Amino acid sequence: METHYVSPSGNHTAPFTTWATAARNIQAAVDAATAGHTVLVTNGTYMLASNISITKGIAVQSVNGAAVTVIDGNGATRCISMNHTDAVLDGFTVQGGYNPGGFGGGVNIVSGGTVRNCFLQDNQARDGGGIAIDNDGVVVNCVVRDNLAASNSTTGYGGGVRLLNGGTARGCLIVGNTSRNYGGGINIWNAGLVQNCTIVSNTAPNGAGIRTRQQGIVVNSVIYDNVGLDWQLNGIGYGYTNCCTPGAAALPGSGNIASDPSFVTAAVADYHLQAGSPCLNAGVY
Amino acid sequence: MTNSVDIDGNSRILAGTVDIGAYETAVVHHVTVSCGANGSIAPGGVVAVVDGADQIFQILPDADYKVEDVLVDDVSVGAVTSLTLSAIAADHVVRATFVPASWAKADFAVETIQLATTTLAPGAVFGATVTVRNRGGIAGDAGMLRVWVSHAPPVAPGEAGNAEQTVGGLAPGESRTLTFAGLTAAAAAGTYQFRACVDADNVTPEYSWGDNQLPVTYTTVADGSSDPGANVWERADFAVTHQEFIGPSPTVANEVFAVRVTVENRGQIAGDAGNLGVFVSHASPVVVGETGQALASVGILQPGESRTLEIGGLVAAAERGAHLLRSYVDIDDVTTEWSEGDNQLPLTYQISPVFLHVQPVAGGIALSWNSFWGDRYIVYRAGSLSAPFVPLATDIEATPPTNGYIDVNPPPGGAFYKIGVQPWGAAP
Repeated sequence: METHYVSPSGNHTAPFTTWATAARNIQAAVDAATAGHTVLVTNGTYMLASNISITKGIAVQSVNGAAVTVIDGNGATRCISMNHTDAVLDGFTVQGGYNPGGFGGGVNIVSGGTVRNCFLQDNQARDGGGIAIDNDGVVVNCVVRDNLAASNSTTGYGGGVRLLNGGTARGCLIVGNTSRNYGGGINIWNAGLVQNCTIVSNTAPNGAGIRTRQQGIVVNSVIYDNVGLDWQLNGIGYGYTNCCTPGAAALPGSGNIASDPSFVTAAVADYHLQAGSPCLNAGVY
Repeated sequence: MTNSVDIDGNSRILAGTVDIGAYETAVVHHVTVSCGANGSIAPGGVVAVVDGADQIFQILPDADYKVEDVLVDDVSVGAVTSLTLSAIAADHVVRATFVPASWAKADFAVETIQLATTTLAPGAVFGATVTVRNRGGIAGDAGMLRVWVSHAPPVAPGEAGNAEQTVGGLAPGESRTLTFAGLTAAAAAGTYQFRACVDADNVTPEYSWGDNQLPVTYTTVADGSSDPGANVWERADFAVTHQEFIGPSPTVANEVFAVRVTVENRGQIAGDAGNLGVFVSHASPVVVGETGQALASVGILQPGESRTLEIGGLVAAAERGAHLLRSYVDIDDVTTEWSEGDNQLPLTYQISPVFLHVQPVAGGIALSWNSFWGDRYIVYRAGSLSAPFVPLATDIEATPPTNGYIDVNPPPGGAFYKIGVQPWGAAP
């Protein structure tokens, strides 16, 4: 399995298979890779003029994690586009993405791809400020924070995450996102799965935490302390299972609780659970 | 399908099943494990267990031992060798004790050590009494009981000591007490460990060597006196330990009364306690050789012996107010003692102030009051409390215990009287 390297100090010599010859931008290494290859990115902030497009089964991953490896759209462009079932983006901060006329400010996945262990922050799009998934794709173990769903009018769907016709958000903290209209944290349209997510402090006029329209499934998730109604339902076919949210009794599904989840301290954004939290061991596997 | 790890990288299931939310939180409880000698518990120490999880402990006796009992939070769960705490939801304490698996060995132990005294002069000669017992299941030769006058660390089998005696055979449960005399305390002032060890040469196989020896602590204190050849521990030491009035305490000037005084020899040798001097009013401590109001012979007192004397015919102080009666044993200091500080003891009594009694009698109003030697009195009268008191009589000499006066011409509407006190020599 071949590895293609990306480093701000590489000499940018294709096919970028050593650190010395590493690409200075991620897209070049992605272009050089083929299915099954890895693009390995070392520490640095990678400013973009146009989005990185990953349309093949490769893994783009950082060496030292999201805290020190940044992909920045510079407020001018979406950061990442993915369209392959085996495509993986792992361990980046994705920020500054901008796509007010369409899907995905930070990341847009169409029909396949996985984003994991990432911070998706301070991005903007009309649909899915942090990430938009269309048909199929997964965002997992990510922090999706402070993103905005807004066109340049009052439209907006999914400040943090937008799931359209499918897609999964799993194990994510979705916090501090805003939508101009629907789904401050997450908006599901016509299908999508949210599993083991903590959805807090998001803002929207309709479904500040999450809005599910048609076929949305939400499992094992905390939806609490959002600015506005924590959840909103439209259409049919949605279900909530073992979730913790105010007004849980009115949700369609089973095992939902309305108790305070007892975060360690929301004041400093520590959303771990305290001893005695009703959410401990209360999920369904 | 739920992820195998949470957003922090922790296992998605830490106890029971998955948590709700992005974080899997491990609520941890602690099991504190301890055990007595001759065995162990695994795992040991303080074991962290996530909430709701089970924890298994193995109770492991040493060779030739078995589990006596296992306690969970001080409640016995029996002599188990494996313990499972299920669905742990709080902190716990687990403790195990062990006993010999069979009683097919002897097991000698030093059970008690009694020193004649635990405070000695440096280099002093002293004695010790040691009791040993066979705690084992069969008889055995307890060998030699050996003692060390100063041995802080445990002794090893066969180590030479300062004195030893043969114990001989001991049946199961049998104890034997041996006395050592002529032991010499450590030569320098300090604190030392006297140690005794039975079967000191380890001639008999036992269950445990650990209980074969026992230390006790004693202290040597330097004399500090210039009394060559006679240290402080070889002196008498007399003390007045108790005194009380026989009957009510005196309250009237010059009242005759009696006291009961107990003295004791707190020293190490007998001595002549001389005379007990009694001072009926002596505010400051009495000094050796002072002359009191009464003397009573005490005589010889053995160490630890006490004697109670009753001294009567004492005359209370003439002055009003509080007085200290003091009794001083060996007032003439006929015997050298360890300390003079405890030779005397004070006892308080109170001579009452003047009380005036007024009573109509034929021929006037009779006044009477308790009086004191050395006083002269003035009788005053007033027609009302707002009117001035006018002297009726002055320079009335005291005639203790009481004085009297009759107002032969009291005013018809009644009167108020008061008595003024006028010391000798003072102007009325």
